[in-house]
Amino acid sequence: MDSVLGVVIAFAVLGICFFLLGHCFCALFQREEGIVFQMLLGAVLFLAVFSVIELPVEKLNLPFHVLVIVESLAFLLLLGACVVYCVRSGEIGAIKKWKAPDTMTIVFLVLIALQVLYGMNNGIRINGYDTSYYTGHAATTLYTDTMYQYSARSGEYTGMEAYVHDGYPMLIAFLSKVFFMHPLVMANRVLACMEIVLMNMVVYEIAYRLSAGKKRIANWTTAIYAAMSIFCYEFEEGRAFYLWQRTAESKSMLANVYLPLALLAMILLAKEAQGIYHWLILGLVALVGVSLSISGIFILTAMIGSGLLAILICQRRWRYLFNSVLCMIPSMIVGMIRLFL
Amino acid sequence: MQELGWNLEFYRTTFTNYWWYGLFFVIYLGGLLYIAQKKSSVMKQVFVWPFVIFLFTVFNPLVMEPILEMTDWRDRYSRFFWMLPVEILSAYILACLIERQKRGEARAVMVVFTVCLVFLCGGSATEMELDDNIYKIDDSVIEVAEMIEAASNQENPVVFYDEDLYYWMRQYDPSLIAAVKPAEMDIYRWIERDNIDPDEQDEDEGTALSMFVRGVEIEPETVNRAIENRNVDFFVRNTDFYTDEYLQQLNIVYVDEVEGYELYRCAHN
Repeated sequence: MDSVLGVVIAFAVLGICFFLLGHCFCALFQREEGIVFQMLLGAVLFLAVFSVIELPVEKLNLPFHVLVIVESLAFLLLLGACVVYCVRSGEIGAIKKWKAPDTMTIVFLVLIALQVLYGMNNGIRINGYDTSYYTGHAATTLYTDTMYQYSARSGEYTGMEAYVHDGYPMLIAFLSKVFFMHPLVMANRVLACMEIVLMNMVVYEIAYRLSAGKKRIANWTTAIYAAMSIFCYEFEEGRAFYLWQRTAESKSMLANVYLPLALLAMILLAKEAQGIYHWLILGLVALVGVSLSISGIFILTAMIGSGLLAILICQRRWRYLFNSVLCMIPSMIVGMIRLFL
Repeated sequence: MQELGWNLEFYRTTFTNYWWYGLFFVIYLGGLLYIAQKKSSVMKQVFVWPFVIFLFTVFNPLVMEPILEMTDWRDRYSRFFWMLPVEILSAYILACLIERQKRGEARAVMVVFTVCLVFLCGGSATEMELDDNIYKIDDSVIEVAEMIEAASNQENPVVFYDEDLYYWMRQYDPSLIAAVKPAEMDIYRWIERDNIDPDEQDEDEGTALSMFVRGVEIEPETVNRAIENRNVDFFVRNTDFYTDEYLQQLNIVYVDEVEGYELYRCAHN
């Protein structure tokens, strides 16, 4: 599977998983959403399910194969349920009536394809020191069947370290195991492409929602954002620096996917805060960001906290304070466990 | 503030280092001002109010300085700028300006203006260049790993390799064990080889080996002793480092070579 074809297959399978999860989540809440939003939602759900299972397995110091088995079973059950739901509700028939994409959609797809092409062939060597932590731990995990028990850089046995880890290396390791891939290919190709695609989808969806459904504005925003990003890749510490140079790291996902997703969730909440649908989305985004990035514990929490405070101040509906606390509790618990246990 | 011992210069430097020329940030601020005087409640809630809250919290040195002192997060402080949707809002405003133009010529002018702005605000893109391999790592890492595998009859050979290989080898082949520990490698992490003081090798073995794998010719006895103490199986020589006379004093035997690297088997007494 360590080939271009393997990468395409892994990417396609993940894409289908995201779509199924997102589609069924929307159906569960009887919401009509576009395919971009469904895919984004599916990705968030996928990562949230992974994170929720990964944390206890890691903290209980269980072998890596336990994580693979439990995660695989969970995803098989979840995706099986989604397929059954789609068949029973006649959704498969609806998918068969696939309409040709309109010009705006084609433009958006071309934009993404160009960026993926650029990202995979920009000749930039990824930072070795930090990457050696993420991909190194993923490779060591696969080799030793343990989680964070060996030094990623030297290979010496360290036992339970007092170091605060996030779940991203285990995501790389799990997906590498499932798709029979080398962790370097998974991190530098599959997950890197996934990050580029998700980033574009989030930017598109933000502009789409802000412009009240104008696809042309969404496409222009995506294109301008991409150009800004490509021309800012060398500005150290910026989002683009991490997107084009350091995609194998969890902070890259935080800067380019989780934080923009939190912004999107804020936009949805600012538009409609009644019901639990948008609160749940925000809670899931927070959970994913905190679980899969240590920096996310501070940065994502600060961003969501400020956003929620802004919504509370502007809308003056103090009962939302309860929703705010409730949707942040899971991510706070995960953050505390990661930091202090 | 300086009398209180609070480093305000740190916040200024972090800001300017992050935003470089600052032009995108200017567009963002302009966008915020524009939104603030418009009626759109959603835009105000999502962009303007959080920015104001940030100014009083995470971007307020009076609040952050004690927190940074406690958490030792100073080197990561710039990541808080990721919270500001500067690029997203700037791109959205420019997109709206383009779409607002009804006439084709006006729209073309706006597109040209946007392109110029992106060039002006940004740096330079890289040229398209195909990677060496699907792993997105240097070919030499793979070649050296394969060379060791071919020469070794052990499951987990212990190896001396230079800094260029150190952070990559175990990403590709986790069966290898590095002879130098990560903490030892960190001693000279930010220091150029020519700036390493060879006299510091007397401090301890770890310091000596850290400079050895960076190409400093330390006492051969120290290397030979480490080969014994650490059960080192192989030494990967960067061909830019070490003289032949120096290598002759080490307990190593030539095995094979690839471009840029030579493999030696360590001899044990």
